Amino acid sequence: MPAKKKLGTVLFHRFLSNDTIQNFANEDKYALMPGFIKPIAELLRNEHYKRKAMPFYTEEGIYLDGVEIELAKRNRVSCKRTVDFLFGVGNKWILLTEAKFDVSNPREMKVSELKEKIAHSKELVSNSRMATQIEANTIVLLKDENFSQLYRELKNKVSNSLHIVPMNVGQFYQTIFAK
Amino acid sequence: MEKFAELSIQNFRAIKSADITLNGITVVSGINGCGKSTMSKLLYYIFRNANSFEEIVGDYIKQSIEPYITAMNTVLRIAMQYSTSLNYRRFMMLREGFDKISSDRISKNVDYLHSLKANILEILAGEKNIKPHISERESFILRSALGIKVKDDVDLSMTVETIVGKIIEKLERYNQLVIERPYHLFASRMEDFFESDALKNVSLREYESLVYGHGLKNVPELHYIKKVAYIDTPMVIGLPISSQQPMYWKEINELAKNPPRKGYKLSINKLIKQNIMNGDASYDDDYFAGGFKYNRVDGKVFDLTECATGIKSFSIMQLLLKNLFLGANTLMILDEPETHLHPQWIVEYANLIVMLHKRLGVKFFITSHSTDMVSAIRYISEKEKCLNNVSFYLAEQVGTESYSYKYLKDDIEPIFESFNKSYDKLDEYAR
Repeated sequence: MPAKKKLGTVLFHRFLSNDTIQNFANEDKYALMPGFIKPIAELLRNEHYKRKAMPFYTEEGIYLDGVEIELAKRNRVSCKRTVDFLFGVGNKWILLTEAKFDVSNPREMKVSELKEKIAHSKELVSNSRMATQIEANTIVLLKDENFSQLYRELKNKVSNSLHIVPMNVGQFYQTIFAK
Repeated sequence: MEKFAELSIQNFRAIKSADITLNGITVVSGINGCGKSTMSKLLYYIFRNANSFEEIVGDYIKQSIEPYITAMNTVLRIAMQYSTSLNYRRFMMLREGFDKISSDRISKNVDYLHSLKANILEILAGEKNIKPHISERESFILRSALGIKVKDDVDLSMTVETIVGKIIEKLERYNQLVIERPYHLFASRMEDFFESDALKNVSLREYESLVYGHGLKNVPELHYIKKVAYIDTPMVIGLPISSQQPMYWKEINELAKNPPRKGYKLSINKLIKQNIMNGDASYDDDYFAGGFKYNRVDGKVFDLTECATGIKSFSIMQLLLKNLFLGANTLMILDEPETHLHPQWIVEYANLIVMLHKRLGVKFFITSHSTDMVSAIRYISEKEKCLNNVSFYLAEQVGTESYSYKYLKDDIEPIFESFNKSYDKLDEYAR
């Protein structure tokens, strides 16, 4: 199985096993991340992904919003915005992923906070004692319905320098997780 | 969904197959070179020619009498050798008299011919003693036109009688042909614009009756679309007319020059004038200072040909609205109307299209590359409750340089999917 896979012209590291994300979470200097490892299917459902059929079984990821909320409580500061999930890909790579399943109408696509979310998420990832690298591209998961229009709206509104790759759940699974 | 026309095309230039239903607003999308403009031109020429059958008959008659006009000129030239009363001016008068053949001019043409014949016969009667010399070339011309051998001792008076008789015979066929509307004339006219072999695979039906296509003997009168205009670029407005221009460029200028008439939709004009253009377009026929004008609301007047192309785009629609060209029997064919428009004005233009259709019943055939235009037409029609009259088509490549058109109804997702391939290209070049 190749270590990387392309979607279009963009290359991603593939998911190898849950070890990557677990090792990463265990090295979190705040020891919060292990408590927020959940099966991907559950993570997606919690973000209002409605399709019954789900290609994921045992694959896991970190609910990063939960980590931030807990961290903010602990430090008694207000929450900052983060992307929704972290996934472990390759041996030591972390993939940032944001879910936008609540957006059906392309005109409702709001992206102003994405830059901030990505920046703060990278800060949280760097809290790990484990030497990790962050994938250059951030995935934004969109609904299947009106996917192409949502895709275009997102790409039109976001600067190319942010390296956003919109995907639906099927493409996400095929690109990162499928063997 | 009310469908008033169906265009079927097979193996015509880049179009492998297309069955396009016109039912209100029809939007066709696809990459460059897939045949969208070919489709636009086919629609334009079919509807235009079917509605201008008198013009086709007139041109046919004019062409058929041309050899006899040439023969008559030859006779006059021969007669001039020995007559002092004939002059060159007669040649010019003869051609000018038949510059245009139309129903209101047939009887004048016939009267003119009788009068010309009488004049020439009178002159020839007075010059009986001198025999003309007829050159080989003149003999050939007369032989070709009249099918008779011509010698030096030819009776010129008899020849004039024969020629005039033939011309009148042709002219008198005009009314009969206009009523019969024979298909071969229509087909022949279409071959002026397209390759004849490929045209055999094109057909147009109006309410399921064939109005253009192989097997038709007589062209029926169109009931639904009586007026058609084709705009492939707004730059055409105000362009000096030349014979090298496509017919639709000349026509759009002529149509736009017509003055405003009472009864146009004020609310739509207000939309254009106040919300978009901040002014009015007009045409001034003054010989020196005339032309198309843009009258801004602050009172300043500009030459429209010097204005922004976006202003021209809306001006053409405003002019056609105000002179009542736009109506329920009008088909507007627009090639990439989003060209030269800011994204905000693309949406305004889409809104205008939907309003013209909803409130005046104007029919549209639109080709587009713009996500904003496609999206705006789709969602504005939905909001205005006329989505049922909107159809989208996407050109899909099926071979090398060959495309089939897929009917999408109101689902624009496949169009966006094809548009989104540009991001793969951007990633390829820019990452």
